[in-house]
Amino acid sequence: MASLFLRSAARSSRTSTPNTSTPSISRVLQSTSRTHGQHSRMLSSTPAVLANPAQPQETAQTTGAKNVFDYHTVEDLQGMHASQILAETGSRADAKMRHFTVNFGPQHPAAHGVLRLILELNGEEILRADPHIGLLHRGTEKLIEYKTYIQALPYFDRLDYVSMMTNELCYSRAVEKLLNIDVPDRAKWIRTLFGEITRVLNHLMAVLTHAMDVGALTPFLWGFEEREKLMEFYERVSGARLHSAYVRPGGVAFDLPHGLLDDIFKWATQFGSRIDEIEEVVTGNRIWKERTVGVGVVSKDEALNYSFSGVMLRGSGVPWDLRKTAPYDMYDQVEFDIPVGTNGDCYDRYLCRVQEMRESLSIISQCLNKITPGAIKVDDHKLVPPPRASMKESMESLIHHFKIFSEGFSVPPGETYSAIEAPKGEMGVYLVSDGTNRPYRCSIRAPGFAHLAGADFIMRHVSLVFPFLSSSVLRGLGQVWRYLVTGLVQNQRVP
Amino acid sequence: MTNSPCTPPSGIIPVLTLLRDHSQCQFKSVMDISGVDFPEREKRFEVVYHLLSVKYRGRIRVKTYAGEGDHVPSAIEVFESVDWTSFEERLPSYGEPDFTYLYLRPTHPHGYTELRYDEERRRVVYELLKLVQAFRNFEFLSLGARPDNLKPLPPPKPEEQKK
Repeated sequence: MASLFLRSAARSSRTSTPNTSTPSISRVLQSTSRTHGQHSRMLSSTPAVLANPAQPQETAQTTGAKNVFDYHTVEDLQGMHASQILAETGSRADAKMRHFTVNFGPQHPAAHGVLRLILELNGEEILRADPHIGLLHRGTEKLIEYKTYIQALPYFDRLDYVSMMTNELCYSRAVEKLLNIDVPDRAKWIRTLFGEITRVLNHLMAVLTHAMDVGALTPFLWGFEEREKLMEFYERVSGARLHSAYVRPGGVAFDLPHGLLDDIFKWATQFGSRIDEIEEVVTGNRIWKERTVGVGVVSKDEALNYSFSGVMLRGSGVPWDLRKTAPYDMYDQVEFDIPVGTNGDCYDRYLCRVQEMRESLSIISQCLNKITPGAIKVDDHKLVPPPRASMKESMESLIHHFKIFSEGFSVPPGETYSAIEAPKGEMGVYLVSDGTNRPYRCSIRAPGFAHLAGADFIMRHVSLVFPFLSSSVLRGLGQVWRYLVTGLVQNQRVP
Repeated sequence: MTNSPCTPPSGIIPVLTLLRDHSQCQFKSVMDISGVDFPEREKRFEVVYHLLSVKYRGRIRVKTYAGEGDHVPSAIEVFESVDWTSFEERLPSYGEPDFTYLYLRPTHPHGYTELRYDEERRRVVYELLKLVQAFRNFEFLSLGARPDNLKPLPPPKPEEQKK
């Protein structure tokens, strides 16, 4: 409740700060003692409203052209002019006061991954959030340029360690588009099925770690049990729990093992009630609502302007989902709805994610019903490796196998941008080929990068009780910490 | 996706503004900015803006170019997100607020230094990057050939002329 009070206090002081005051700054500087009462440094309230475009010009008139601050100040001045901040008003002790700057992360337990935030605080109110990027910059895009198209694939698992297969899918689709091939139906069904499993994996992580940081530990444990089961499906189909390298250009790596669909069906029948349980604890919870409703509001225009995507866009009321607007794989064969928020705050985004899990569940059941038997990759063995059995008998297959895993395949020259709806938003790969067996340029659009760029404007004036809440605000934003993963660009990774 | 108009760098701002505001375009967000390096060209860097129109479900790529040391006008006045995406691509642009600041962040790697905790000095120190493994560029297309970066072969001995 303390946080609520402080938040409201901060808000009231913000709204009540007169915007009309402030004579010229030169006068403030000359007569600091007289104007002290009115123009003290506004430490206790948000000074953003003081931004007045006319002021710097007045200073320029009185103190000469550009002063030293204009050249050397790189900090955000919170809408104030430098001389306004540096003017010493009141006593010497007052002048020494400044906002509390907290270094949040990268080692903070609530930062989960490798997010480093420099938070400037006024009491519990965040005045400025400065995300520092690049902690796990690994130069993925550059590395990919030196690998064959097949070898480049596993880098996409590592970009975002909770939505692995969707990342692979994005890259595979880009390569397929350049190769101008179409994958068989069964491969598309498998991709859709595991794409949705990935979405559930991701949303469980997103929603429940968020809830955990607000204080609800129990649903987190329930959810992680479900994640274990899902990662077991990953393991059964690809041999790896996380970095599966399963969706490959030309189809998928292996066919589904016997009995997997039955087990997915068994899982899907019970998962709905798991969501119910989680919602029972979290959705109506007073503490949860207090800390998410109205927090981190993003308007429609802001979301578009900052090129947000995924839940960050839908939460603000833009009905945009690439699975609907530009269907790929088998998304045009299944029925599902797109939940859209209205207020654009953390709570709406939470509701969107939970509803998306239910929609994913329905897509999974439809996939289980509609999946067709058949080939799981194209039959051109210059693009996909031949089956193991034929290698023992056919010389040609053996040569194909050797050529694929040493030389790879050459892709006709061209460029393409492939975008899919990853759980966090639009994942895009801009692939330029020069006709050789290696990508000439592979530029990755990670959804989280754009969201993290908006972190500052979303977090301003949000009250934080303790770091957990701040991270929940972040997470509510859309797992920004993971964004560090997805990619602060190219290549952030959580070890 | 097949149409990708190219403009000279001076025209990029008007073109982006037109695409954003024209009622038939409405490309309200720039999803990504990519830089592609073609060293053989005179203007070697190609800058690609990937725009998305939520209203018409359209995408478009707008391209411009820059030579070494040239500047591309920053599109931040058109799209907010350009601030970060262009920084990410290390675009040679100007006009962004805080651009130098983004560059000067101590945690952002420049590719030349690495930092570690020094036990003796009890603080974090910056050191020049040491690459343990040499850079290897496999030429997969000609498997039998020697890699370029190996020591060159000694010249063949001149054959003795037979009598």
